[in-house]
Amino acid sequence: MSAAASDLAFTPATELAARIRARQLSPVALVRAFLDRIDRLDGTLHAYITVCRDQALADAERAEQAVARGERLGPLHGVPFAVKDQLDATGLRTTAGSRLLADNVASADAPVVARLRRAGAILLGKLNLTEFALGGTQDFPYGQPRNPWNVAHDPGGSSSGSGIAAAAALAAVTLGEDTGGSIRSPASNCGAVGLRPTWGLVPRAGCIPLCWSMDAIGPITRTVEDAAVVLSVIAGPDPGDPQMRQQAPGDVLTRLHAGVDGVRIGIVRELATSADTHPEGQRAVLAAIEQFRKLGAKVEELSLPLVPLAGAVFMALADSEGAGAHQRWLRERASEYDVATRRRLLAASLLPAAAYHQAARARALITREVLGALERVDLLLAPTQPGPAPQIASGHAPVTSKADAAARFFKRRSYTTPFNLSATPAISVPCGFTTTGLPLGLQIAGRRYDDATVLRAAWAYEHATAWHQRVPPDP
Amino acid sequence: MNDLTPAEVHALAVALGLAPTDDDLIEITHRLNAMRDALAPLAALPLDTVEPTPPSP
Repeated sequence: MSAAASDLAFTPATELAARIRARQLSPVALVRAFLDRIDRLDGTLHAYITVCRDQALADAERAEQAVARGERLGPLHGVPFAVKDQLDATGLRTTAGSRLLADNVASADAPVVARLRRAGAILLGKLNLTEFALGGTQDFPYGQPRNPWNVAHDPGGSSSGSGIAAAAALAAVTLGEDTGGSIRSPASNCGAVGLRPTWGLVPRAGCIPLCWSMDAIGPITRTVEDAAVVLSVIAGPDPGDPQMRQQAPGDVLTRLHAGVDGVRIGIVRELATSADTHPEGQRAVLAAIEQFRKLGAKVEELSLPLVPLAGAVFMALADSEGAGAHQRWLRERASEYDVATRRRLLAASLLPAAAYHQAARARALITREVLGALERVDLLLAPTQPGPAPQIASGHAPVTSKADAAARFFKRRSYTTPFNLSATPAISVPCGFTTTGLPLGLQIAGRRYDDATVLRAAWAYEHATAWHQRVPPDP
Repeated sequence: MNDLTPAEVHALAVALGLAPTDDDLIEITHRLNAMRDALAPLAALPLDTVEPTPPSP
């Protein structure tokens, strides 16, 4: 592939759409450029489960004709996108990354897919994920997803393919789903931007559920502006979903570039300076704090003492709900699950209902703590993950003790899940690289339905730094 | 709080109609014991001051 074609693929989606509208770029050429990259790189990275090549090219031809006819064009007209294979798209299978759903063909688009298509975007395919969006998959039935910055390392999950495809420019924009960090974790590990919107802002129909009270669909992209544009397209009421806010979503674009002068930001002490946080991650967050101060934000440290419990509380709730949904298959088709998924769901099946109930009350306390902090400050800031992407092999080792299980499953999740439990929006943006060349993520969370301020701060930080301009090497 | 043993976990699983393999049973036991330990600090929280309701949209 020529350098020019590679540059095109890494161009922000907003700029691609502008060039298409100005008749400077052919949607057909653009789709071909992405398909060429998929052909060349995805045999190693395994971002995709399904590539709908012929349909994408046919849609690109129609998009090109619409431009030629001078039709009114949507904000993402001609822009290629891909979605986590947890979301339905008409005529394509939705596997949820599982052998159990290998032949599950969708009869309709999920509302988020339909909305992106109505905005003119062109579906390239469906993206790899950990089985049933649970995380920890050991044997991926559709190929082991790999981190584009170092293929021996984990891309994060559960929206693994979405993080890879965004970071490695295998799609212009992608969608993931985040129940406990599944958008922000791959964004952080892969050096991309990942937004978990406020729960209730984006319709979830056509998405294979994990946990009804925490599942949230959102964008993983290469720039904050692209994430804002995607959110503006997919957010909004859905009369078929009683868990949706049935009001028009707030405008996230008008003040995106307004800066953070005077914005109050609280640094979450329990995450930013925790002994569990990698030293290079701590240094990157400290540098980000200084950057926000230079931009005029009022930064203070604050304490959220219940945050270290969030990972276990989250797993007691989400895993129990997942286990409830999978009981029949656990009895009848247990051997078809990946071994890690099966063991996680079996363990959750045996958790007493009283423990679930206690976790639900603890969730209310954690929510009160997070929302209380967000009355004092406008935004909360923390590392997205305790460290950079681990090696893939480390996740395949057997669990040898309860201490090993606690370290592997609870601590890491305490970084992202406070904002899932409290239903608040949170974004991960690149904030540096380790000395070994792996990306680090900065997490910014805000008040419910104030996704606009989260995006505004993320944009200000992104444009004051150059981390988002780095591109991964070809594997 | 004593840890659950693999035999106890197996009995629980069988009672629910689940049939973990021997290898599954070892890891499930570690996972369950880790979860019980991780949730133990909740007993010290004022859980009776809040309702166990998730957020509404």
